Amino acid sequence: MAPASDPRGSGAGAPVLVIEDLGKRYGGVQAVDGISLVLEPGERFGVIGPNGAGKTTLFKMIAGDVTPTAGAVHLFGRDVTTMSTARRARMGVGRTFQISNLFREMTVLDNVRVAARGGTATARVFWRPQRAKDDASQRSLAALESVGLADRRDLTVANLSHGEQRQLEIAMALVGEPSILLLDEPAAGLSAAERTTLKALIEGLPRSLPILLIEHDMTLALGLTDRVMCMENGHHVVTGSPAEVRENETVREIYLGRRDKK
Amino acid sequence: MNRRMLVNLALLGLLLVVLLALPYFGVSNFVLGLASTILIAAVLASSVNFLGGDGGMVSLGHGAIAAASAYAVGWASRQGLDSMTQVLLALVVTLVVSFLYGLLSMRTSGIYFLMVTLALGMLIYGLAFRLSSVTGGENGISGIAAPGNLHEEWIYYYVVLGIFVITTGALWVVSSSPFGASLRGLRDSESRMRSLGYSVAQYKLSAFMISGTVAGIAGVLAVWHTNFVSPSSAGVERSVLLVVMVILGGIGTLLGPLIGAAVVVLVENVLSSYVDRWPTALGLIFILVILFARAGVAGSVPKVLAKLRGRSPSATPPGDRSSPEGTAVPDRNHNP
Repeated sequence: MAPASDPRGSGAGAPVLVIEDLGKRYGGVQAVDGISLVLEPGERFGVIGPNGAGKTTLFKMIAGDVTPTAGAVHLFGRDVTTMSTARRARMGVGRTFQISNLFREMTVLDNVRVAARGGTATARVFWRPQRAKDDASQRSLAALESVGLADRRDLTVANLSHGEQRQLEIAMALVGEPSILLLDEPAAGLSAAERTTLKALIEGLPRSLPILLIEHDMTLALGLTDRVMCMENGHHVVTGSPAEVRENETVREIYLGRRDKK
Repeated sequence: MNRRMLVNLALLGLLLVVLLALPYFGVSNFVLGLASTILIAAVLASSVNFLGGDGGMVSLGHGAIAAASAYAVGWASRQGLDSMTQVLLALVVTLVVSFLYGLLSMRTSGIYFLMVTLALGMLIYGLAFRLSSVTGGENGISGIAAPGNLHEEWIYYYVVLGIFVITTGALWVVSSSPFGASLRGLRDSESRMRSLGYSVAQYKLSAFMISGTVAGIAGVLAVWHTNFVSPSSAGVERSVLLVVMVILGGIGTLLGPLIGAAVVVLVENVLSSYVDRWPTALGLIFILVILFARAGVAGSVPKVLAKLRGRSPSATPPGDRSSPEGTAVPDRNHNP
């Protein structure tokens, strides 16, 4: 199951995602202010920052859950600033949720099958039962295989461990063969062992798939990405290679300062 | 096909044989009529069950959809139109009403959906009262005869049974189809569905149209059976009883609507001749089910049986969904 490398028309080498001067104001609170970034094809980009830095708001503006109050979002060369989440998903945006957002009363396989059919006409077929051998089922089994959940397919989601639910999130994001993958704090709440599994899983994804990763945990984000942006209080702090960001004085202050207070 | 499915199929077959043989047991017309009433209520309840069980949209307005369809038949019959035209008109009215319901409720969910459908039901109730040139006002329309020899109790029973089997089968197919899975996805998480590219409102509207059509069919069956329609059939009480039936029987189960309809209709028609306060009896039954068998009769019996056999229940039966407690475990007999 290889995610397609942008079949949607933008020229070779054109950026997948362009964010220009993006801002979001909630009443008197400026959650995100003047953030710009460019995601190149095949690039893995991390956004880090302490709690309340505006990472999740930024993520939601890219995914389409939140409409910006300033600036613009371009996906695959198209202005999607006011486009709905569902339409962005149909353009090829795959995403995971920070707090596992799964179909809790359905089986693992059905979760992925509903994801596999997302936004296509096959999801509207109402005149015959789901088949174990149809295209969506086959792709779903392959996706479950790739995240290591194949033997869990008949369990209901409520019976999965937290770590397995995160793996299922990723299977659901991948099965639609996205052209960009947005990961919202995929390691939130995981144990050290589960983190290792998840890190290996993300590292093993095809390099052709561009990834935007929001992560609170600096070590994980720096280990998984090519470039990293650090945010604080809605503002841009620094963008650079993981090594540059690790060495950056301000970033150190932000992270060490916060940790000291805990 | 695994053993559980075989057992389920055998039980369904047995039930069907009993229902088919009922007129041959020498039962009175009263009993046959009661059986028809139960089956008609079950068709109507199954439309609520589909929307509530798979779509997570519990409607308090389905009684009024059936009533609108019944009024269409009544009005057409009073104009002297033949039964085919009556049915066609009922279908058109049902589709229009369901579409309006769906359009107005598709952006809501949970308690808000309940409120919108409740309000729309009240609207139809009000129209039934006020639009007396069409609906006969408070008196309703009476003398609506079933076509041909359908007025014979045993013939009508078979017609109703046939339509019950067809609608239940059709709803089962829809429920186990990819569309049904999409609906359950909506029930569990709308935000996730949006992020997967689903147009949530469209799916809700389609689900409402399917459910409303079944409710309309029940409306035609009911009015031909009682030969009478009045505003009370559009009242909130009817719609509330439908939800009670669905919950008693087991929401999201295949036979829950039939079981729930049987309990409610029997309490309403049989127990009421012995006890004045039959609603109290119904209320007590309802409370007991909520307290001790929250998944309803059809949802709880398999679990209890499995417990008695000393193992946890395996995969859920057809049309069933896992319990709210999430006790389902992997099906050990998954492969044939």
